Amino acid sequence: MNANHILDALEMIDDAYIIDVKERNALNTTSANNTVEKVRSLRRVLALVALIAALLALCGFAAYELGLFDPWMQKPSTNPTETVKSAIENQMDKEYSVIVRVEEIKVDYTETKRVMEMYSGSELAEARGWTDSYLVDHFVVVWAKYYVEYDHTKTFRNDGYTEQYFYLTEDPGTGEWTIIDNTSPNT
Amino acid sequence: MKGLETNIGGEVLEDGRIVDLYWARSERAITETASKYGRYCYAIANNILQSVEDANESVNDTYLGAWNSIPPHRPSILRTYLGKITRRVSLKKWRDKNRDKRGGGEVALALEELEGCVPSYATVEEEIIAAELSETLNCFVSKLPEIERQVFLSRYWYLDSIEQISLDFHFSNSKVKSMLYRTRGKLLSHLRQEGAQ
Repeated sequence: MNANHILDALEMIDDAYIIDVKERNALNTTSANNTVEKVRSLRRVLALVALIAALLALCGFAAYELGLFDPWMQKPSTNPTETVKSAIENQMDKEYSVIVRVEEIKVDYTETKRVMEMYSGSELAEARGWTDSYLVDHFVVVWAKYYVEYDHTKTFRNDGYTEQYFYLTEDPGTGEWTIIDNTSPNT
Repeated sequence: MKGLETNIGGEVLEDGRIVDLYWARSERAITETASKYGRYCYAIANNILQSVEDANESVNDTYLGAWNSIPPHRPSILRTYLGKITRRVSLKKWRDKNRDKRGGGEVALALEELEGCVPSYATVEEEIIAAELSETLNCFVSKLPEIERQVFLSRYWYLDSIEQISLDFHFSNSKVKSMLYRTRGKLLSHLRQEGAQ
């Protein structure tokens, strides 16, 4: 007997063992490919998440700078104009504000009527639980004109006189008015 | 036999249907075999012959072998049936080419490695006939742990290179070599035991 005999005799090994070897390799290859694919997919997902996060941060920064999401640091009051006045004046607490001075402030009944009609029966009013009678008694629009100067090393907002509408609702329980929305500043 | 030859949308035929084509003496049996198992057979042939031309020739010989043997055979596992023909044909071709010289490639290396498994007292007279040796080897292989068996057969059935086995099993070359060395040692012991009986 020599090595050739062993090599030849191996031909007659059970089919199951012969198949087993290549099936395992095929699985390994598939598994390895899947692993590579998974890693690639994960990288793609992470890259996408990073991109979305960067875009959101950029949008958030821009929105913040533009005042779109600028949170009002309001102090709710039973007088809607006082609530708005406090909100404007509290802008001084922001790091980029140099001067904030309220020039004029009043309830704008015309605008209140127009917006109330707009809200009346709307999906938004329904979503917020505002009935028509609630809007009549507990909704008001305040117009304000104020002067601002900013630190332009920290913001690209424009200095000068600004006019803006504030939408407020009243808490029937406490009688306090809270800003729930506002128009963009008209500088 | 028209029904047998229906192959909608290039779908790969099941082994049973391919064997039916052989039995029906439809030449389509060859194209279906080539389509499904051509690469498998080529891989075995190329491992042994290390030559594209020779490997292709072996694969064609395999198809011819299948054509001539089915019928009367009706292989239950067409894949291994073809693989065995390819292996046999390729080993014969390798031996024919290397009759007067030692030759190279994985076969030469495998033979060199397996020389160590031949019991020293074995002579031509004591030679176990092929069928008995196959049975002995089958028994030996069946007792090996799964991974060890797969590595052993990768090397000595498929004639895969050490590097290929390392890749397939995610082992280092040295681990594959040492595993094969240990398995050959076990084979030698096993053959000694069998020879002593």
